[in-house]
Amino acid sequence: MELGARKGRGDILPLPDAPSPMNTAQQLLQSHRSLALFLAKMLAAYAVWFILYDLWLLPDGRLDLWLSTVAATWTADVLHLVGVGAVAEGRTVFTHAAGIEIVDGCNGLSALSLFVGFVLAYPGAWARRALFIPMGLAVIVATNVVRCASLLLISGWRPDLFESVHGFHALFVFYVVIFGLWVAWTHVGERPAEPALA
Amino acid sequence: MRPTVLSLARRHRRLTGVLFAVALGAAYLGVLRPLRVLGAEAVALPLFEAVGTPRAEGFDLVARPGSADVYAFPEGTLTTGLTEDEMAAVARWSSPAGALFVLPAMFLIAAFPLRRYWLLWLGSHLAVGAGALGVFVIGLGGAGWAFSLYSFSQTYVLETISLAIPLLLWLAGRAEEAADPPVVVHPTPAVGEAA
Repeated sequence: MELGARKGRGDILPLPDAPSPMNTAQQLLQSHRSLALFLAKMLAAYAVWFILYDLWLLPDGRLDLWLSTVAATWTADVLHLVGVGAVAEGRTVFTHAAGIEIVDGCNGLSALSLFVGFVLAYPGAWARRALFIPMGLAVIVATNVVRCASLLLISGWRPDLFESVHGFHALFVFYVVIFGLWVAWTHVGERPAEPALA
Repeated sequence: MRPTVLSLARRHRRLTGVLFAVALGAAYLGVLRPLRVLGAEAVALPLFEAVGTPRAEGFDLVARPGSADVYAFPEGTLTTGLTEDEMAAVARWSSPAGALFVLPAMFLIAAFPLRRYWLLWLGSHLAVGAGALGVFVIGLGGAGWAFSLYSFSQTYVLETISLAIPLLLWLAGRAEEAADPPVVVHPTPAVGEAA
């Protein structure tokens, strides 16, 4: 059957072997071996990061400090945009009502690594991967900035809610955003090339 | 012919999925969460306290009431009345099948209400939890690196299982649907019927 052959009213039959995000997933789930290989790739990427972070980056502290400072500065900027006066000093952001400190565990670094691990392991073109990873990292950093801004507002408005919202945010917001980015990568990474017109 | 429960569930798959997901969430809150607390208090804490090596004696173990976690503090931290601050803990063990189980399980049961993925899911979390229990015991009794391994298992390993596998199942399920869409029967005009 030819590419683009039409069936009925307007629906194009896919090529049997045309790659799509869905049949890639099916292929990965097809055997224990392919699934194990995919998971092993992901875990290997995370293990390298975990060791690198634990042994070098965490004791060094500069990466965490930089990311926390950037998040604090941008949090203050976002609050300015919505008309709330805020000041950033290092890792700390203040409003007139409250302040939060963006500590190592809250700067989103682990979320960034979680995102990257999947994109490295899931099949896709390297050129697209090289573009997609920085975009995804930017989305996660922006998510963290919005999260920090909302947490700061909540700590000034209802300090009693801070702990529960803090836990909720860490769990849901990052996971939902990362899941969404992974879904996007399964579509973007291996999108079939457009068929050449005859 | 009267519709059976299964045929109704098949026909209203989305609604069935949402109802099952809500039921699973309620079962988690009502049954699994108390079981996790019991697991920490009645299984993990006695097991950890039974580790009798010199290294293990250097830890004070605490399971907070109503919590599914067991904390290992450096010996003396608690008796000095200083704190039970979580940050002071050397390590924290958590009962398996927590939020990283229930949220993907709800997603899976909502997406595939008639498949038993969520049960497989529970099994995989319990298996990882059993392995992690052993690793934590090694950390407590013998080797500090095991605490790092435990930490890795509770973050990246669980996150990989809990986010990546549901995603693959979901994509594969959509591919199956696309390849074999539900049959919709259109009424055929009778011969001679006006168009």
